[in-house]
Amino acid sequence: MVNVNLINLTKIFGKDVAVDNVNLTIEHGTFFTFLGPSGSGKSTTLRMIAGLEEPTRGEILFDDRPVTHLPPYKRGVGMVFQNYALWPFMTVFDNVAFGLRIQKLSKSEIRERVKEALRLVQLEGLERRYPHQLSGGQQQRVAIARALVVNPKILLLDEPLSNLDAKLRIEMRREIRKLQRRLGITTIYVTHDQEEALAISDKVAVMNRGRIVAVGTPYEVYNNSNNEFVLSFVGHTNFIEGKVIETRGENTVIVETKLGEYKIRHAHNITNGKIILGFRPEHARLTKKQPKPKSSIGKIVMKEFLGKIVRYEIKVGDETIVIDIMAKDDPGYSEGDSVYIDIDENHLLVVH
Amino acid sequence: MQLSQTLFSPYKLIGRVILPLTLVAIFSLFIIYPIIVVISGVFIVNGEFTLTNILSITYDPFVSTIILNTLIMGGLVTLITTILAIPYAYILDRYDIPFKSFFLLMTLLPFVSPPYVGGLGYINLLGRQGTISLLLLKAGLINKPLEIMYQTTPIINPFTGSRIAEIHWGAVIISALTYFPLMALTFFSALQNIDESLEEEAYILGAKPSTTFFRITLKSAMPGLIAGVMLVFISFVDEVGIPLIVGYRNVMAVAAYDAIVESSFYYTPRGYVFSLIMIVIGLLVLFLGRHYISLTRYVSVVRGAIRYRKIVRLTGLKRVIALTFMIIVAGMLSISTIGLLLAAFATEWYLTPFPTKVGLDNFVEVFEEYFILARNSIIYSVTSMLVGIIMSALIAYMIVRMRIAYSGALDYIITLPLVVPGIVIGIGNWAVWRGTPLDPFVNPVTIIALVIAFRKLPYAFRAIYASTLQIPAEFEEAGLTLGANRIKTFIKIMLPALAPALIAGGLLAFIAGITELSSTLVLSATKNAGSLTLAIFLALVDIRHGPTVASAIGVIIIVISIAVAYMANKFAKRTIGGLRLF
Repeated sequence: MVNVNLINLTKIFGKDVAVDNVNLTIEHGTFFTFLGPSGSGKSTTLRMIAGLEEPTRGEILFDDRPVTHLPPYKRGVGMVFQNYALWPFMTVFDNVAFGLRIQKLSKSEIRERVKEALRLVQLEGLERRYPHQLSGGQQQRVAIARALVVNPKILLLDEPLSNLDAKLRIEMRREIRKLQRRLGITTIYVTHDQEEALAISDKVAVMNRGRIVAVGTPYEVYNNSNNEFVLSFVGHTNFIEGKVIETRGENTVIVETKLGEYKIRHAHNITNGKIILGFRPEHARLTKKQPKPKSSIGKIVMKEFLGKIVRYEIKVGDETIVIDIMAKDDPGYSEGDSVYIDIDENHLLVVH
Repeated sequence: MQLSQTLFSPYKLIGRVILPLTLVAIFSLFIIYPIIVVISGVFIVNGEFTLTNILSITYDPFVSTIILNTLIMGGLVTLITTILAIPYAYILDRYDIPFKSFFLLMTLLPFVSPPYVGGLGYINLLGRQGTISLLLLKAGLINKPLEIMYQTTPIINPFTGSRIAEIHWGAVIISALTYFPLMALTFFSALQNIDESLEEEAYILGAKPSTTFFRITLKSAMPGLIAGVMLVFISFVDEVGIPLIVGYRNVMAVAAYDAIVESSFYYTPRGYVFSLIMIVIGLLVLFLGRHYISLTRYVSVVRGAIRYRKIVRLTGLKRVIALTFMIIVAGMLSISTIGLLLAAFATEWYLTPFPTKVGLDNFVEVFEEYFILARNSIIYSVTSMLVGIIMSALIAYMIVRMRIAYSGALDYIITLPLVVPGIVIGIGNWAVWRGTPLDPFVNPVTIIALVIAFRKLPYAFRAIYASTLQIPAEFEEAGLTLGANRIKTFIKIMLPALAPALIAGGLLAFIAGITELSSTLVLSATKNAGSLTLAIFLALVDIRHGPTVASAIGVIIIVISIAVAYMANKFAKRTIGGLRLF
């Protein structure tokens, strides 16, 4: 059970700033995820925590103990790699036993602990197999068992599910989550899959160009962030321009947009001028009647049936707005129809 | 800050600076420094700089003739092999013909049979007293023994009427047949790497098969073809064995050796001058070759994921022509093996087309007479193997994992012995080590073993380096996070992961070591320092032995090489998907 503290952590490769002044506390027992597109610095951050990369600047603390310049083999972390990195010339047993043999434990203890670790990932009986005789999902489990068997203080997972097919990915992420709950181990996870990040994590840090742009619970990151990158990377967000036309009381303004006039509460520090507003596709409805004064009408350019929901793409002026309607509430418009968009005022965000 | 951290960590200092520099220094002592000594031997005489020696190529007709002979004959050999190899490889790759695996096997011949052993086989059949000559005489088709292997054609300068060079047909024919497989194999693998859809696209756009062949196929395979051309040309320039077998001394490698022998009696710079020219040719090939070989890599990267080559079924006249061509070429290649085997097992063979008595006497004679040289051969090849494995593993690891700054240069340096003739390296080492504990007169076996080992290092290095590149960095990183330090991950993870390549690379170096001739020739100052390869030439000129015992030695070398190559390929298949040399 370890707290992880990153202080001004920076990594520069040549001229590229891969990780830019990251400050973060990961509390013990948390399932923490770094989410971001490729090249955002999330894997580099993880590798610095593991000790596989040396930071250019900054500190890494495990429970207030600086580990910044410790080599990986002195940090007591367990790591699962994207390609699993199972040694092909060793059996499953030997792969899992490696870390214990390095510690020079007795043979009987090694046997016990490998068995226990394999039971944990439901792979009993496959000890004598070689990695190439296992399925992708099984290889993944061996990699997890190998990382956990040494009782690491922190478990690091670098895009561990990206080599699995969609269905197995969902199954494995649930298992990883359950395992983490059971062991209570501080876990740091890296992924570019926003759905995965939201589903699995206690806390998520969204990274872009080496910086952390949002941190919080999955709910907070999805709903409360008003960072433009987060809004567009985590789920979809429609962005529209607006003009403040009236200030009411302390924190409320009236904004005029292409889609009509809206009242915005919690609008700190906004007085007048142009602003950018954002809303999620599920936070609006379609209607044939003009819902708000000055709403412009749009034209449906595409309609997609996605099972649970129906997705409409509506062209208003030269902007395309995406609207998701629950399939059971589908008003049944067709491509080419003209409709108005009515946004749920409570979910309209001012974007920074 | 970053720099000082890097330099003052003792582990990094050893790993990134001290160890690589030490390895390079040892290697340079036996390869680079001798080359420098040879070059300076041309320009510095008695401590003074001079251009006289290098200018001798313009006014000394003896020197210029030998240089021209080598270049012209080398060009001719390259031309013949190219003309034969293009259809041979193409038919092999694209058409459905019988005995395919046999035809393919013939292209692997040079990896197990050294050129002069093959040459010996050709002479046994095509020489003055060879089977074919005697059969033709008997049949009355000719009235003089066959001279084709010894004939020369002069080349006359049309303006002055003077003879400027000559072509020795025996050396050309044997070299062309010997190096043909190299060219065929290089072109064949280039063809195999071509994405078929490139050709299909041309057909769809309306190109005829012949247009497609010249515009698309040949162009795509051009890097491979150029690599083959350079490989064959440099091999001919490097060759001492074949000219010596046919008794021809007017090519650079042999003349350089002769000049060095003469220089123990009186001063002659010719050995150094020829060496310098061979070095220049080698370096040209190295730089051009690198360019084209990286292109080859590009071509193979571009190809689609899994390729199923469409094998075209040939029918009628086309089938007959293709098959006849293949049989004739493969038949000519087999002549040498037949000639070699006939002689090796002949216990009585004198002026008759075929042996009059066969048995194992020649082999018994080899072991009675040349036991020490056989022992030396084993010493030389085992040293090559061990040095090859250890040096290659360390250097490959440093280049791939330690991110050392000068890894590109390191790669170049290690490839150098592939293009600098063994004669040159032999001459250089002769000059470097005279009067030291490693003097060829004092300690010939040690110096020869070391020179061969470092000369043959590229063979092991190529295989091991290729394999190291394929091992994901995560293999070791996983070990590091599990508590093993760098040394432990190297021993427990890297070495086992590399094991098949280490063995394959080591066995390749073993073969290269056992077939080595040129450096041994120069450095075997005492009677008992040579190897089995040298024993072939000793047996040839020994009236008690002659070609039959020489052929038996050739057979022994080939058998050992085949056995070792078979094992090497088995291991290589598990890591790098078969053997690729050069």
